[in-house]
Amino acid sequence: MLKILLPTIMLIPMTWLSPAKRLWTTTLAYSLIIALASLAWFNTPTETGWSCMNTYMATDPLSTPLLALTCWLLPLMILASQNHTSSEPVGRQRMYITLLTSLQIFLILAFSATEVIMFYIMFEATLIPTLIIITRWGNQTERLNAGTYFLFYTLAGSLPLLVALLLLQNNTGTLSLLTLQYAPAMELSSYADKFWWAGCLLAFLVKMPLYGAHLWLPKAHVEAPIAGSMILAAVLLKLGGYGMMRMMIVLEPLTKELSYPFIIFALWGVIMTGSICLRQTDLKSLIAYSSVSHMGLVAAGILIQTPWGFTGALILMIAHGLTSSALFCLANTNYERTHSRTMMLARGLQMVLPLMTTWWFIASLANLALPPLPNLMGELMIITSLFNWSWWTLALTGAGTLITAGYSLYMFLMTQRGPLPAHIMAIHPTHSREHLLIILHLLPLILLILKPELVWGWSA
Amino acid sequence: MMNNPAMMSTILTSPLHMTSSMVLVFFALSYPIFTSLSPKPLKNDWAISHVKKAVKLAFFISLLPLFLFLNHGTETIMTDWKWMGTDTFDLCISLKFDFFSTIFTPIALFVTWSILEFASWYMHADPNMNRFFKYLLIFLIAMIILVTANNMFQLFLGWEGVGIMSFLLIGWWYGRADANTAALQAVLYNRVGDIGLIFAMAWFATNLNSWDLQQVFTASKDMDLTFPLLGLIIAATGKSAQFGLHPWLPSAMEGPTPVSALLHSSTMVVAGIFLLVRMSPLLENNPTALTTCLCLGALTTLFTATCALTQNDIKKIVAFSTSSQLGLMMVTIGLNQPQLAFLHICTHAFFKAMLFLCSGSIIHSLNDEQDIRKMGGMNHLTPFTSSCLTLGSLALTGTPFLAGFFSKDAIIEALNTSYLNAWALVLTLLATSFTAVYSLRIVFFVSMGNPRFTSLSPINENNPTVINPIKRLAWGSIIAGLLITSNMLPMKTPVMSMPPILKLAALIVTLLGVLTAMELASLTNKQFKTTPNLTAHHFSNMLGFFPAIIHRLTPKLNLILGQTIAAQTVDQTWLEKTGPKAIVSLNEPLIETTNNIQQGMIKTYLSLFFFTLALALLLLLI
Repeated sequence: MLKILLPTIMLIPMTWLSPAKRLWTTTLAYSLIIALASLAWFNTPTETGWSCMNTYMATDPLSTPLLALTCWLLPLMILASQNHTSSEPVGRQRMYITLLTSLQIFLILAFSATEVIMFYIMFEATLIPTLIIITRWGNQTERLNAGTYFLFYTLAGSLPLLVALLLLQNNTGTLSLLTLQYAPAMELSSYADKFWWAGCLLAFLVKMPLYGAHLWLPKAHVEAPIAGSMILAAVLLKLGGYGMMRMMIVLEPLTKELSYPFIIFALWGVIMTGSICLRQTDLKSLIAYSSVSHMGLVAAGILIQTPWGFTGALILMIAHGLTSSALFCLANTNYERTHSRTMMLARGLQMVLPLMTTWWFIASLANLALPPLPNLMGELMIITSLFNWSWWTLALTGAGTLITAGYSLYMFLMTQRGPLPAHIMAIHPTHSREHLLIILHLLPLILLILKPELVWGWSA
Repeated sequence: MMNNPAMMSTILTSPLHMTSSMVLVFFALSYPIFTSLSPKPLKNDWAISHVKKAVKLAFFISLLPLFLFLNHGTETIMTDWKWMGTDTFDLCISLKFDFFSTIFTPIALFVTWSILEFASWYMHADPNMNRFFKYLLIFLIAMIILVTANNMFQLFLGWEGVGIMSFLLIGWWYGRADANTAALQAVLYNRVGDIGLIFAMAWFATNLNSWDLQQVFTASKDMDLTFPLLGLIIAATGKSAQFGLHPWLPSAMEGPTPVSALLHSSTMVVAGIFLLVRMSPLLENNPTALTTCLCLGALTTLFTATCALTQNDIKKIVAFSTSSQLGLMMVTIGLNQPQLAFLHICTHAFFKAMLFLCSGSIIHSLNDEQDIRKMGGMNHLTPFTSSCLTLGSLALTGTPFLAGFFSKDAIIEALNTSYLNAWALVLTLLATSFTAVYSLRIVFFVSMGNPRFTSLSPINENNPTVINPIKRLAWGSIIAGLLITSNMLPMKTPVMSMPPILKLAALIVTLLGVLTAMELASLTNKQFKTTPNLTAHHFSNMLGFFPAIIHRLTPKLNLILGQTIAAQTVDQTWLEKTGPKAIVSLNEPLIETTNNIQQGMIKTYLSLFFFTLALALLLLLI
């Protein structure tokens, strides 16, 4: 574990000490090396499931994919931010990279924590750099409002979790993830216990976000700079899913019936947010709402608590992480050229940026879950496990896939196809950096087709 | 004979030859795709030198398994490489080379080869011709994946593959709004069908714990399969443009003509029927599903034939005729005759591809004019193309001993001798006679009469890349039916003896159709009424008012849901109001109260302080 964590921490001094000319290249190279090294976590066949252990940290099949995703995303964020921070003084650029790095440190600690309370602390700690990224580096005044929403929604959800965790510690005597599943099942019968159950999940449901508690997400995504949107969509939302999967073991007997309204709500959210996407004019907002829609499916898959549900949820989390991050990057390439997120103003871009259209196309297809991309495997498994619970869910999930296809292709057609508007003149050609950025998103996604078990979690 | 060791060894090794040559087909087809990934720009003739050659080569390779199958009856399943698996649910790459896939693959390759050759002429002015060919090739590969798939997941892969490639190909001229709309329509209608397929897959996974076709067939013997079968039928409805999900098919004519030819002949639209043919072991014992297929197919075939009657766009007529033929195939599935449906897929591929190529050639010759009212007299100007157009129309109507006859006549006979729904029978017969009507209409307007187009048209069909593909397909349209029928062992016993009226029913209704059409054609010159009654014409010409209603109402409702309810009412009003804004509005009165007191009125504060102090002291002292 420390092999990755310490280099990540050392990335901060390196950011401040390396010469300004080489700042971006060195940090990029360094973080890429960390990302490549983190792939070694996949290669640990152990019987117990846990590996790479030290006193406080370990990995298991559930956390490994998310950890690797976290490490993979830092170089991509650095690549993506290079252009829009280039006009800033170098000190601020260093500060920015430091923030991104600190986020990775917290995320590694969160995903690999073996104690729930440590996970909780790191879960909260990620708020700080993210808040700074949104409110300090966002582009418009609404960023302050977005930051407030982001902070207060998450905090309001997660403070009950702290109380619930302390209660759990009081009852079972341990919060270690290694032993928690062997702790005797708690007697949960009173109404207070049900509140406790809700307290345990609320933080994660808000983070996911569950439909109804999702208002912070479109705002945060839209207002954040590109790196912020990327990390939010790719990893931070997944903290919610990860936390839920971890807590589910403890909550076992109560969840069976209490989760029904949440499942329905999540699935209803898939339809509603999908419909909102169909009416979006703002590119980033569309991608953000599509994240809510996909994460609704993930939430339903986790709450259904079958091996297929968990597996599907994990696959979809990883696949969606890469896809939505790629889409945000693509949106950013448009934004950096036209300085507008409005889709109507940047149409027909296939004429001017033909290779970008390819990336747009692949990313849209991944978003609408085309086989054999992992997105489809995840969705199919979730749909199947939900179907196993109740046939009626297929009406919601089926309509969801239809709407997803609708808005993904709407986004593609709107931005890439059609005639080129007359005002689009003299825009930059695409940079190799941008192509590399998208390739590094899509390549893992495509390679995962060949060995999907890597992200299958416990049931692989 | 079996004692002959050489013969024995052939029989033992023929599955090996079969699988290896079929895998070679895949390699031959995907080779140009992979080599095109190299950053070096492709040569201008890459489309012809690589793609067309690859398909041609693949066709010849695929003949080997075909001959092995015809000679020895070799059928084989190849399973290798466990793709993924949980504890109990495994998914392997598994290919099935049976009657259906061994016969269909060479046909698809042959037809595509011709279409590609034609496309090299038709698209010669397009700067992205190489990309166009690459798309067509991926389209074909997806179809072959679908045909050879031995499990549901692979089938789904090919299924979505053809869907998404059709999106790209229909939207090829992406500057045109219509092309983009048509492309989106195709995907969305197919997605509705996909829900059915996903439903069936979820059902199989839940109840049978397998997506492998053999296991599904074996394990589901005693189960009630009505629901998953209905799911599959919905899937086929979407892909094969059956009634209800049909409007995307005529809209898809926005794509270039070679795309239409490929889409309508051997890929994409037959995929739905092919799915049901594949799943026929499940269908055959389920009367509900069969009746659904029968009625759906009958309705489709009549409705789309009706629509074809009054279209003026040559490609639209051919497109609706495809839709009508697909309905006929669906009827055949409903008759529990999957083999006949498959036969019709095969024969239909030849003449439909040829009809599209002919119309493409004519459209090109007439300066991209698609309206048949502005054609005419092509018989003298492009004799070869227009004779092939006539030949294709004749094959389509089921003229004896052309390709269409062998499948269509057999289907109608099977229909006549079965104990099934009379309503469906009447609808199908009516549609058959309509086939003759619109086929005659094409021939009448395009090749007969006098030219009605502008005199400066670049009419020239003397180009081997036009003539040769059409010629090959013409041969196919003439002999394919005979070849396939004589080499095919029927799985179901056909009824051989029947009264002459039933035996000749198909021919009689077709002839009646032709006679009616000729009478109508002669009536056009004599106006009997001052104002003709146009309701029926409008119904047919406006496609039964189906798109006018469905394409406005459904999106409108959806978009209203999205905007008014989901975004404005829920997200921007209620969730804001009860969430973040509620905290503000709850706390504001408290804040204001506390705030209001502290306004720097020192006299009041001091006097309050004084009185409170005095009161307290007084109370203490007393």
